[in-house]
Amino acid sequence: MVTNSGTAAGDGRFRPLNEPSPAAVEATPRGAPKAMLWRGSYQRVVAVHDTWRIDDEWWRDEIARRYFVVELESGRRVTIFHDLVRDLWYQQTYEAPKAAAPMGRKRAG
Amino acid sequence: MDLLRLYRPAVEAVSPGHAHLDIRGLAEMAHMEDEAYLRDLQESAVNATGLPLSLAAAETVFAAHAAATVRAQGAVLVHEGQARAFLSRLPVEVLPVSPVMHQRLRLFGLERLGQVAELTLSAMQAQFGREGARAWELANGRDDARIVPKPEEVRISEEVDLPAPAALSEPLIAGTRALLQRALERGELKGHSLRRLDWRLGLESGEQLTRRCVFREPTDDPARMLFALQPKIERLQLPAAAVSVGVTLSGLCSEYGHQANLWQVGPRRYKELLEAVEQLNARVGGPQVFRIVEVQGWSRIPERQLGMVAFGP
Repeated sequence: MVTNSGTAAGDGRFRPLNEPSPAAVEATPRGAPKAMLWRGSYQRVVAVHDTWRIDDEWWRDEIARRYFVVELESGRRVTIFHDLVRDLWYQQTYEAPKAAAPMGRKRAG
Repeated sequence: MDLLRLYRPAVEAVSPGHAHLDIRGLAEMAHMEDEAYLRDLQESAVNATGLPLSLAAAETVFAAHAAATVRAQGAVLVHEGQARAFLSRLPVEVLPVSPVMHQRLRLFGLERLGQVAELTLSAMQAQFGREGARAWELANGRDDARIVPKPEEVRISEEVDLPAPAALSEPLIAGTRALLQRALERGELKGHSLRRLDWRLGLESGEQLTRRCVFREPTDDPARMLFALQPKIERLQLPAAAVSVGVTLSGLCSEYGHQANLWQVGPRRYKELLEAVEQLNARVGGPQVFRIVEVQGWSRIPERQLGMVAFGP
């Protein structure tokens, strides 16, 4: 059991970081991004530098995303993903995960 | 460009004498037919500039560009749904591809866009690569290009005439300090930092000396700006006394600041910091200062890797 730290729980003491933000993306029929709304104007995607997919938590709130690192016609690189469950597009900074989680502790008793 | 921007802010300067303008909805607003509006726009531009002008409007940027290219003067409207038919008659030289590709298209007997459109995409791509695929799309009236107006650069200038001609650096520095403070109080710069400072000195002889400072880190602090500029002023060898000083600030960007490391202060400062944070939270309501902690650094889901925890005991 986790001991009670005595710290009051309340709104706002923990906030998530790097939440995806909705993006307006036009895609080809095959699902590749071809234009994106960036700072008020649509910019064409001139190159897709990388793409990968993550599938996780199928046992609860399924996450299925296809990520793209795209280069816009202004030269800016942006990471976006297509939420395959909800069919929506988002923008999000992506960092490769660190090494695997530490092994769980042995159970008592 | 300035004349076109009176009609619509979305103006893209493509090259000297060539611009793209988004006019969707303007004819309706003027209660005119599209063709009449286009003719009116063309006449107004010719009257204002005195230059020969060809103007074309179409559903896509390329179709409008091609129509304006093949017509020396006047206004052309390519009606909705007719872009492909219109383009089919145009020579391949209107395609925005390399001159080498124009030559190769001719060598293959492809002289009109209609001939290019009749081929398959795979054939064009196999023979001409990415340029061929683009040419095929454009010849078929498929163009997803958008008009991308160049963002306007904000430049703030302030100038002052010196009360008396000055040959020493001290009055110039004092004048510059006052100008910087005045410029940074302008509303356009609120919440922004700046990257570039252009300083100019008007001399009695009519000459003007200029110096430029580009800041390594954007700043909105007049003291830091003057610190960077002052050595340049002090090194000046003036051929004549100075009568005016001016500054121009540009290179606006978002607010920029140094984040000191909150977690590496001594115990006394840490206690002061805690008290200050608690006071801030009480004034605003709810936690205001957070620190980033690793939550599931190994997770492939980015928003699970890190989180923010309220700073406090």
